Amino acid sequence: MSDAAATATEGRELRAALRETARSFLADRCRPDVVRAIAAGDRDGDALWREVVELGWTGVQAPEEHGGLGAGLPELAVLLEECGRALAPLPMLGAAVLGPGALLDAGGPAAAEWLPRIVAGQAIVTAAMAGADGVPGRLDTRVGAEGGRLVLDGVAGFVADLPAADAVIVAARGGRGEVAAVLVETGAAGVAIEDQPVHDCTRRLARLTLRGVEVAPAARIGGAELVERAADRGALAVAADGVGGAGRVLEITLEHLRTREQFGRPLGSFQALKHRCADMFLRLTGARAAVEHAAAAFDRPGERVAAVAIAKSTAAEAYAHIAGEGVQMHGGIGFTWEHDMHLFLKRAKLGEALFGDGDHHRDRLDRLIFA
Amino acid sequence: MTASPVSLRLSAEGGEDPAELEAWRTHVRAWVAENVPADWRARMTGAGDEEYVAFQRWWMGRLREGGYLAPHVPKRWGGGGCTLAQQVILAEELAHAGAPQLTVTSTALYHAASTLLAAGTDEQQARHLPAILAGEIWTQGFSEPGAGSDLASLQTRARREGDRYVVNGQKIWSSYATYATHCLLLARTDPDAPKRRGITCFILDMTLPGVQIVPIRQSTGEHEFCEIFLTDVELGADRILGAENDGWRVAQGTLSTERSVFVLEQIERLCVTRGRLTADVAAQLPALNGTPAEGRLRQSLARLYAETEVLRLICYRMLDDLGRHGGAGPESSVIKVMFAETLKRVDELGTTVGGLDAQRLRPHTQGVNWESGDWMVDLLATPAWTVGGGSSEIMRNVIAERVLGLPREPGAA
Ligand SMILES: Cc1cc2nc3c(=O)[nH]c(=O)nc-3n(C[C@H](O)[C@H](O)[C@H](O)COP(=O)(O)OP(=O)(O)OC[C@H]3O[C@@H](n4cnc5c(N)ncnc54)[C@H](O)[C@@H]3O)c2cc1C
Repeated sequence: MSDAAATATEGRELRAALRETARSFLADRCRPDVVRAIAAGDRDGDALWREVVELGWTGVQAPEEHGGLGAGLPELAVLLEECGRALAPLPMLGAAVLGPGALLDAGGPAAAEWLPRIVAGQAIVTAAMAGADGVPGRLDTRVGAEGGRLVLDGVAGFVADLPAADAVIVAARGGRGEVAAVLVETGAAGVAIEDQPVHDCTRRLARLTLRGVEVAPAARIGGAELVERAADRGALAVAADGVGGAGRVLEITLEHLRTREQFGRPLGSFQALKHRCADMFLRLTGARAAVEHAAAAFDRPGERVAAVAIAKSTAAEAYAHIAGEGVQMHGGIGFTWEHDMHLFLKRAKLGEALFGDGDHHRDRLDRLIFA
Repeated sequence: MTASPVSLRLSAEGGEDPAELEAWRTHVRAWVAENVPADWRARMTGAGDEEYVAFQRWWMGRLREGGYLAPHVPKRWGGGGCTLAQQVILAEELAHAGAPQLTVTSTALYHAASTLLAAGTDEQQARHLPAILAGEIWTQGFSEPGAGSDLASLQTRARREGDRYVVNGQKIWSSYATYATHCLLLARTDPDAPKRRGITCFILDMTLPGVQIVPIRQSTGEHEFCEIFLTDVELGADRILGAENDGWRVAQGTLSTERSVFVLEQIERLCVTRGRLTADVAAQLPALNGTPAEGRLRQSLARLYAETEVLRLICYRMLDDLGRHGGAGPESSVIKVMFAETLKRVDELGTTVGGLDAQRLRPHTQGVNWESGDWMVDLLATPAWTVGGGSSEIMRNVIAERVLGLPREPGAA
C-alpha cells in the first residue's frame, strides 16, 4: 500500500471509530428529554459538556503538542454530524470549531496560550466574523490604533456560543478598510454581551457590542484570510450538522411511515409518500457527499471556497426541506411540542441562515464560475 | 375601487343592481375605517390567551353591532343575511383593511352554523344559531388518534340505550376546545355497517359529565388544540344532527364550508400579507445590490405575486359556479391545496428574507395562523393548512380520483 493510501485508510478508520463513539455516547447521554432540559436552562448541561471535553471533542483540530487529537476537519465534521443527529445543545460551534480553528490559523503566542486551555475545557473561544445581521462579509466593527493600543468599536450579531465564551475573535475593519481578526477577552472593559434567543432552543447566540475596547497589538492575530476561513469553518460545521439532523429526521419519518396505518395500510405503502421519501434520500445523499468533500478540501489550495459554498447551500437547504417534509408526513403530531420534529425544523431553519444563506453561497460560486 | 368582477357577475346572477352593490361597498368601507382599531396588532403582540380571547369576543361584538357578523347566516338568526356578492365585498373590505380575523369562534360561525343550517332541525337551529351569533364557542370533534386522514375509520362509539346514546372514545386536535361549550361530534352508531355508513353527527355539550379536555401544546408554543376524552357521556336523541348513521354526509358538508367565501377572505388576506413580504424584500435589496442573489429574490417575489393572483382568479371562478349552480366545481379542491402551499412558500420566503433576524424569538400575535407578525412562527403554523381539514396529500388523491377519474389506490377505501 502506498503512503497516501495508508493515510486515507487510517483516516477512514479514525472517522468510523469517532462516529461510533460519538453516536453511542450521545444516544446514551443526550436523549431528547435531556436536550429539552438543557435547552430550557437545566444546569446538567455543564456535566454533559465536561464529558464531551473529556472525550477530546474540543481538541480534534489542535495538534498533539497542545493536547489535541491532531486530526482535521473531516474528523470534526463527523462529530458535528453526530451532534446534529442528537440535536446536541452543546457549544461545539464556538468551542470546537470557530475558536480552535482560527487560533490554529493564527499560530504564534495566541495559539500557544489558548489552545491547551480550550482542549482541556478550561476556556471557550468563539469568533464573531460578521456584522449585526450575522451575514459574513458585512462588518459593523472597526479597529483603530491609539497610543500603542488597538481600540475596537461596533457590533456583531448572532455570535455562536458567545455567552459561554472567555474570548472572542472579532472581525473588524481598520482605517484603510482592511480586515483584521482581533482576539478580545469577554471580560474586558467595554465588552457587552446580550443573548439573542432564537426559535432553535438548542443553540445559543448573542450580540456583541464593543465600546472603546482596548487590547494589545498582539491581539491582532490575523487578517482577511483568517476571517474568511473562520466563517467558512462555521458554514461547514452547520452543513455537517445538517447532514446529521436530516439523516435522523429521515429515519424517524420512515419509522413513522412504516408503523402508522391509515386506510388499512401503513402510510409508507402510499406511493405519494414513498417518492417524497426517496427525494429526501436523494437530497441527503448529495448533502453528505458535499460536506465530506468540503471537509477534505478545506485546506487544499484554491478548493475551499467552492467546496464550502456547495456544501453549505446544498446541506443546509436539504436539512430544512427534509425537516419540513418530516413535519408534514407526521400529520397532526408533527405539529406538536411533544414531538421532536419541530426541534429539528427549528435547528434546520437557523442553520440555513447562519454563516450565510443559500443565496449568499451561490453568489460566491457565481463569482468563481464567471471569474 | 369598483366592484370586483366576481361580485358584478354574481350580482347579475342574483338579479342585483350593480349600483346598489357599489353602495354596499362604500357602506362597508366606511364602517371598517371607523371600527377596526389601528393598533390592534400592536396591542395583541405578546398577549396571553385570556387577553386574546377577550379581544376576539370584543371584535365579534363590534361586527355583530355593525350587522357584519356571519354574513352567510339568515337575518332571522341574527346573521347578516347577505347575498353572495355582498359577502364577497365584505370579505374583501375586511381583508384589505387588515381587520382582525375571528379565530376562536370560527368553527362556531362557519362550520357549526353551516351544518346547523343544512342539517339541523328547527328546534336545533332556534336553540343554537342565535347563541352562536351571540358568541358561543364550538369545537370540532372529528379526528381521533387512529383516524385522521382516514376519518371514516373513527372508533368513538355512541351506543343507543332507549332514547339516549352513551358515548365513549377519544378525539384529538380539536381547536379551541378549552373555551368551547359545544362540539360537533362524530361517533359510530352502527359498528356493523360499512365504514362510512354507521357514523352519526351529534351536538355535544362540553359541560356534560364524562367530558374531559386536555390541551396539546403546538410547535409554535401555543395551546390551540386539545384532546377530548369521552367516558359514558349521555346524549339525548335530540342531539343528533341530520339522521342517525348519516353523519359522514353531514360532516362532508361541514368540511366543505371552508371552501366558500371563507376561503376568498383567506386569499385576500394572503394578498395583504404579500404586501408585507414585498416590503421585507424591498428592505433587503440595497444590501444585495447588483448581486445574483438580488435577482433571485426579485424573481421569487414576482413568482409568488403571480401565484397569489392566480389563486384569487381560481377562487373567483369557484364563486361564480356557486352563484350559478349553488355548488362548487373542482376548483374548491384545487384551491385547498394551492392555498396551503402558496401560503407556505410566502412564509418560507419571508423567513429567508428575514435572515437570522427572522430566527429570533420575539412576541407575536397569536391565533391568526399566518398573520402573527413573525414569519418563522407563521411557517411553523402552516400545518394548520397543509394538514388540517384534509391534508395536501389527501386533497391530491381526491383531485386525482374524483376530478380526474383515476382509479383508487388498492386498499385505500
Ligand atoms: C392545525 C390543525 C387543526 C386541526 N383542527 C381540527 C379540529 O378542530 N377538529 C378535528 O377533528 N380535527 C382537527 N385537525 C385534525 C386534522 O383533520 C388531521 O390532523 C388530519 O386529518 C390528518 O390526520 P393525522 O394527523 O392523523 O395524519 P395522518 O392521517 O396520520 O397522515 C400523516 C401523513 O400521511 C399522509 N397521508 C395519509 N394518508 C395518505 C394517503 N392515502 N396518500 C398519501 N398520503 C397520505 C398525510 O397527508 C400526512 O402527511 C386539525 C389538524 C391541524 C394540523
